[in-house]
Amino acid sequence: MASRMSWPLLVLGLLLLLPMDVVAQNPPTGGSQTPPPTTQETPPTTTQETPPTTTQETPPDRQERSRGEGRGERGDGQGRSRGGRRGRRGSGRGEQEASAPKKPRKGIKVTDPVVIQHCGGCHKVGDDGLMSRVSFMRKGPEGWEMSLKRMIRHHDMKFSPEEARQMIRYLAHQHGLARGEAERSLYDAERRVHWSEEDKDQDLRRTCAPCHTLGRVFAQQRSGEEWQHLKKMHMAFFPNTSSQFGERRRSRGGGDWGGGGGSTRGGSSTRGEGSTRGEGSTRGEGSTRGEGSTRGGRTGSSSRGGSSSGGGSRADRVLAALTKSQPLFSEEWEAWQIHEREVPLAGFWTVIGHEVSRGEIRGTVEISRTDQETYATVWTLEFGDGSRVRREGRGVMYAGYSWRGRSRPAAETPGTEPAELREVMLLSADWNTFKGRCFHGGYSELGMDVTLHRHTGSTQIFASDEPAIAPAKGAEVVLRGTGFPADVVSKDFHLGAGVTVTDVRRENNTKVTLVVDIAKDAKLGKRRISFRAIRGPEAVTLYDTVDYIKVTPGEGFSRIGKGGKGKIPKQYERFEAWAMHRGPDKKLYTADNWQIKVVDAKWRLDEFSIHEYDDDVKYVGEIDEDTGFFTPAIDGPNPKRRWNANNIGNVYVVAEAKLAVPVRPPEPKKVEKPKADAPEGGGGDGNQGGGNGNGNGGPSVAVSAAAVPIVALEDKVFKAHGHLLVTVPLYVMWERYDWDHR
Amino acid sequence: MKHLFAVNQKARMIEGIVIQKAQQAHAMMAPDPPFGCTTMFSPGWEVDSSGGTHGLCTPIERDLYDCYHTCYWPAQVPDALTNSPNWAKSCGAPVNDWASIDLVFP
Repeated sequence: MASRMSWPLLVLGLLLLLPMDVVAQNPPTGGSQTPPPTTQETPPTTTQETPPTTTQETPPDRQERSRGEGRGERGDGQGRSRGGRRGRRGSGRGEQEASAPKKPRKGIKVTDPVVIQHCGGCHKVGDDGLMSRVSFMRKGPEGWEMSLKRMIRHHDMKFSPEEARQMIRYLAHQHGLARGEAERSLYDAERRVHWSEEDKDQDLRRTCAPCHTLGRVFAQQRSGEEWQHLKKMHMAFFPNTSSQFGERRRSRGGGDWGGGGGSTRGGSSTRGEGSTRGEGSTRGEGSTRGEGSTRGGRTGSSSRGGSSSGGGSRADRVLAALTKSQPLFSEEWEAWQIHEREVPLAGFWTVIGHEVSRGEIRGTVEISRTDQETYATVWTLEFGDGSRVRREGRGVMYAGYSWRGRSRPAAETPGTEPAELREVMLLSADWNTFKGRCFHGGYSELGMDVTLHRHTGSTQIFASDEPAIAPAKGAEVVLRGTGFPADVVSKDFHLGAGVTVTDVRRENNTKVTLVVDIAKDAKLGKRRISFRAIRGPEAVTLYDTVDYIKVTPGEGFSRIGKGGKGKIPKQYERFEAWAMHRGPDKKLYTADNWQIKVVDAKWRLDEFSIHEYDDDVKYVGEIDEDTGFFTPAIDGPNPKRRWNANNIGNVYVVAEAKLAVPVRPPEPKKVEKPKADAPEGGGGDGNQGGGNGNGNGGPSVAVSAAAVPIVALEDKVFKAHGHLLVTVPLYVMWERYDWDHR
Repeated sequence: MKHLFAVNQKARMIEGIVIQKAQQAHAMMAPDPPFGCTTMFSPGWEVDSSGGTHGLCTPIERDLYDCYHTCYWPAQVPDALTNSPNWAKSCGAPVNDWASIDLVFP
C-alpha cells in the first residue's frame, strides 16, 4: 500500500524536474510506455492518437482514484489504451519514458466546418487539427454513410440530409480510399451477388464473415489502434461477436464490451505500474499476445505486453494482420495526396456491357460536369433483347476514382425499365475506362456489368458484337470503338492467320462492320483485332463447334418475400445459358474451356432431392420458360407444407437448348510412332486434319444471317443444370442510401 | 483404384458414363456459395451446414424473436439490444402476423 501511495509523489517529482514545455506535450500518463511501432503507417503509439486533453485533464493524483471509474466515460477509448500498454512494461521504464518528447500524431486533419460542427462535440479536434477517431481511419462512401447512420441511431445526432451528404462527400474524399484500395472491395460496393470469399484468410472469414461480407472490411484503412477500437465497438453493440472473435473469457469487471469497460481493466493494470496508468487499458493490446486478450490490464502489467502480431484471440490476430495490410497511410494514398486532382470526365464514353437474361449492352454515356466532382449523365443503351433505353442521371466522384451515381428512365423510355438504377464504378489508373455495375432490386440483385470507354479522339477498338465465330464465308463482325476514319478499308483490319477481311462497312465513327472469311483450318482461340497501328482487344473467339452448354450463374440465389401486405422484398434471380467450347486441352468442364456466346434455351425447375419427401420444387417459385427469370414465392409459413415450412428450398434449374452447330472434323489419326510431340499439331486444335471429309453432311443451317457456313451443321440438343437456392428473407437492411440522391 | 482399368468396350462405356456423371455431380455438389453483398450467406440463417435449406428453422417465423432478443443473427434480424428495440412492436406473434413483420433500415 505504501508503495502505491508513493507513486503520485514520485511522478509529481519527475514532472517538476522536466521543462514545462515537455510536460505540457507529454503528460505523465501518455506516451511513456509506447511499444515499438508495428508498421510505419500505423501511428506507432496509442499516445499519438490520443487527444492530449484526455490525459492532461487527469492530474496524477486523481488517476489512481479514477482507475475503476473510467467506465462512465464516453467510449472512444483512446485514453484508456495507454494504461494497458504501460501495464505490460515494468514500472521502472515508465518514468524514464515519461520524459521522452512526444512524437507528433500522424493522422488526417479534419478541416470541414460541418464535420467539425457535428462530430467535434464528442470527437475532439486537437491543436494539430486531428480529430479523435475520424482522423485515423479511411473508408469508402458506404462505410462513412454507415458511420453517420450509427451516430444518428445511437448518439441522437441530428443533421439535415444536405449536411449528411456534404459530410459523406468530404469524408469519402479526404478520408477515402485510393484506387487500389477501392478496387479491393469493389465487389462489395457493387452489391454483387455471385461471388465468394472462400479464398480469403480463414481467420478473417470466421471473425467477420458470419455477419457481413469481408468486402466491408476491405473497404477500410485504419491505424493500429483504430482497428482495435473497431473490435471494441463490435463487442459493445453485438455481444455475441465475442465468441466469433475467439474471445474465450469475459472480463471480471463485467464490462468486457465497449470503450467504457476499459477502465475497469485499466484500474487493475495500474496495480503493477502505479498511478500513471490509471486510465485503463486497451484490451486488444494485451490480447494480442495471449488468450487473455481483452484483459491486458486486468491481468496485470508486466507479463502482458505483446505487439499486435500473432497470439491472442482470433480477432486480435486478424487485427494485427489488418494493421499491416490496411494501414491508415499507404503508399498509394500518399501518392494520391500529392497528385490529387479532379480528373476531367466530361465527354462521350462508349458503354460495353452485359446483363443476364437481356444480353449484350452497347451504347454511350454523355457525362457533363455540373459542379466540383459532380456530373450529369445521359445513357443511351441498346440491349441484346432489342430494347432501346435512354436514362438520365447524376454521379459523384469520390477520392478521384470511385463513381457513385444513379439514373432514371427518360420520358421516352418504356415503363418496363427500372425506375432507378444505381451505379458503382471505378475509374482505371489511366483515367480512360470505368468498370462497374448498375443495379436495382430489393437486394440490389438485378444489375448489369458495364465498362465505359472514353472517347479520346484517337482511334480505339473496344469490343465486338459477335464474341465468337465458326469457320464461314462472309461472316460479319461488328466492331465498337471510336475514331474510325471515313476512309477505312478492309486492309486496315487484321485478325490473324486464317481470317480474311473481305469488306468493311462504316456506319459511323464508333461502329464498323467487317465481313470476314474464316478458313476451316484457322487456328482456334481468341483473336486480337487490330486496326492500322492500333492494337485492339482480343474481342473474337474462333471455335469449331459447341461442346456443351453451361447455366450461369451456376449457383443461383433467391429469397422469398412480398407475401400479403408484407414489406419484405423478394430477391429475384436470372439465368442464362452459355455455349461452351472444350478449349485447348480438348477436355470438357475444365478451366480452359471457352465461353462462346449466350444461346436461347427453355427453362424449367427440377427437384434437388435431399430426402425422400423432398417437394421444394412445388413451392419455391416459378421460372420463366423463355427468359430464365426466376420469381420466388411469398414469404411466411405455408400451411400446405409439412411443419408449416416456408416456401424455401433447393432446386435444379434446367436449361435445354436446341442448336445447329458445326460438325467437328474428325481428329487427325495418330501417326504410327508417337514421337514426343506431333510435328505440327502444336496448338492441338482438332480441326486440322482434313475436316471436310466427315460424312455427316446434314442439313446446312446458316450460323448467322449473312454468313455462309463452310462446315456442315447438325442439330443438337444440349441440356445443362444449375443450382438454385431459395431461402429466407433478411429483416434488416444495413445498406440503404437515403442520402446519395445526387 | 487407380490400378483398376476397363479392359473391354462395355467396361469403357460404363466408365465413360460414370466419369461424365461424376463431372456433372461435381458441378452441383461442390457449390461455390454465393455471397450477397447486401446479404450474407451464413450457415444457420440462409443455409444449413450442408449448404441447403432443410436444416433451417421451420418455419423461420417460429424462431424469429429468439434471434431478435438474443442478437443471434445481428446482420439478418434486427437486434433488441442496441439497434432496433421496437422492432417487434407491430407484430405480436410472427407465425400468425408474419405479414406485419417490419423491414428495418438501421
